[in-house]
Amino acid sequence: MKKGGKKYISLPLERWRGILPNLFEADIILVHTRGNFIRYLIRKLTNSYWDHVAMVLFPKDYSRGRHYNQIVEAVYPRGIEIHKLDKYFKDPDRYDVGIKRIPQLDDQTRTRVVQFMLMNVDAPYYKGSVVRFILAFLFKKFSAKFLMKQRFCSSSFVQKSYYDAVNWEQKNRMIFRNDFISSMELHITTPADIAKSNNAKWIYNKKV
Amino acid sequence: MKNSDRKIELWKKVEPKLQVADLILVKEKSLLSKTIRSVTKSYWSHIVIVLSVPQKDTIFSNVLVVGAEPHGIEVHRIQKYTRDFEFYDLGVKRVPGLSEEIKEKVLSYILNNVDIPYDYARLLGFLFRYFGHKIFLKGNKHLMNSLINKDAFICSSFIQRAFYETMSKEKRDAIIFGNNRESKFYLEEITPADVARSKNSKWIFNPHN
Repeated sequence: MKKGGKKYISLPLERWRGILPNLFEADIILVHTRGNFIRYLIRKLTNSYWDHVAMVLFPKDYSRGRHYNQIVEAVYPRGIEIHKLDKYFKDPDRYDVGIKRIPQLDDQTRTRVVQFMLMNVDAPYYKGSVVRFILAFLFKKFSAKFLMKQRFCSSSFVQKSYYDAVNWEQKNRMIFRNDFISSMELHITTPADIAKSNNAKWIYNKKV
Repeated sequence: MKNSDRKIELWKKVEPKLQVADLILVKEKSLLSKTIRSVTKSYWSHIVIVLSVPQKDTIFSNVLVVGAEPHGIEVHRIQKYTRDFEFYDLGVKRVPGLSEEIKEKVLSYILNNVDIPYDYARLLGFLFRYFGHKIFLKGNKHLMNSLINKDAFICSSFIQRAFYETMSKEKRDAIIFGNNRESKFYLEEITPADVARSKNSKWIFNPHN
């Protein structure tokens, strides 16, 4: 397979979902994880295919000798970490990946989002309450109540990165939930909110 | 003034002077660190490299470092080490004369290696060598060397490789930190002690061998 004039060796997930497009800084990575009970509950409770979110930190750039897409994500239990995107693409039995992009984002804003993410490396992970998730799953009528104060670490980190990095005039364009939330409530943004938001456009493996 | 408070004050003066690709040597109060220091006869047991520093006219205002940690090659804030000077002590060395182009290549090498797993086999070999030497193989250096890839610390060999792989062939001699060029594993056998003692990098802060 050829990409950019060079022989390109696709990763296992690319053989299922198609070859990755060229990624930009601050592109949003949505992840579906198999074989994890909490992730399953998150998908069921938010009515979405996706249960985790990451962001592109440093995209591949062969001219600079960078051969991998680097992402930043909130990972339990250690917090905000930098990894290669390949970790998801190498294991299609366990993961599926979709990618969204905020349209018309200038380079300066992208750089600011990346800088915000870099400043948050090592920030702690706020663990989901298993009890709260199970209660919300069992008593669906009250699920909104049970999850009202639940912090979704991976998606809220992405939400905050965008919100904090842009100017005041652009902040509304960066909120992924459809209902109004204040900046103090950004942590309740879920992977489903980002997947369903019209503020970010699908560029790979569209699923809500 | 407490010793840790004095270290904090000293570090505050050094941190703004850090540059990308500076080497930060680490000593910590742990059994593993003590063992490494004892075997290598050095003050230092670990090493990380500076990935990014605060940039003018941007919101980014922190120092990030990369090193081989128990989970593999990882990026961390410098605060991981500087928030507890009771537990950690730090020293800084710099490879002189690095161009911006070489620094960029070193960074790329580091980023390409994020997530590479930690080499526990080497660590095990190192510990086996130490305890074996202490307990039942004292004096039998030849046997020990044939059993174990001696002193192969992944943190320092990763940093050695980062410089070695990015330099042109003519300049590689100037960035080899170890002295044992006769060994076929001379790049893998680099220890934090070798980096500390090497004349190919200069002390910026807290010199100790």
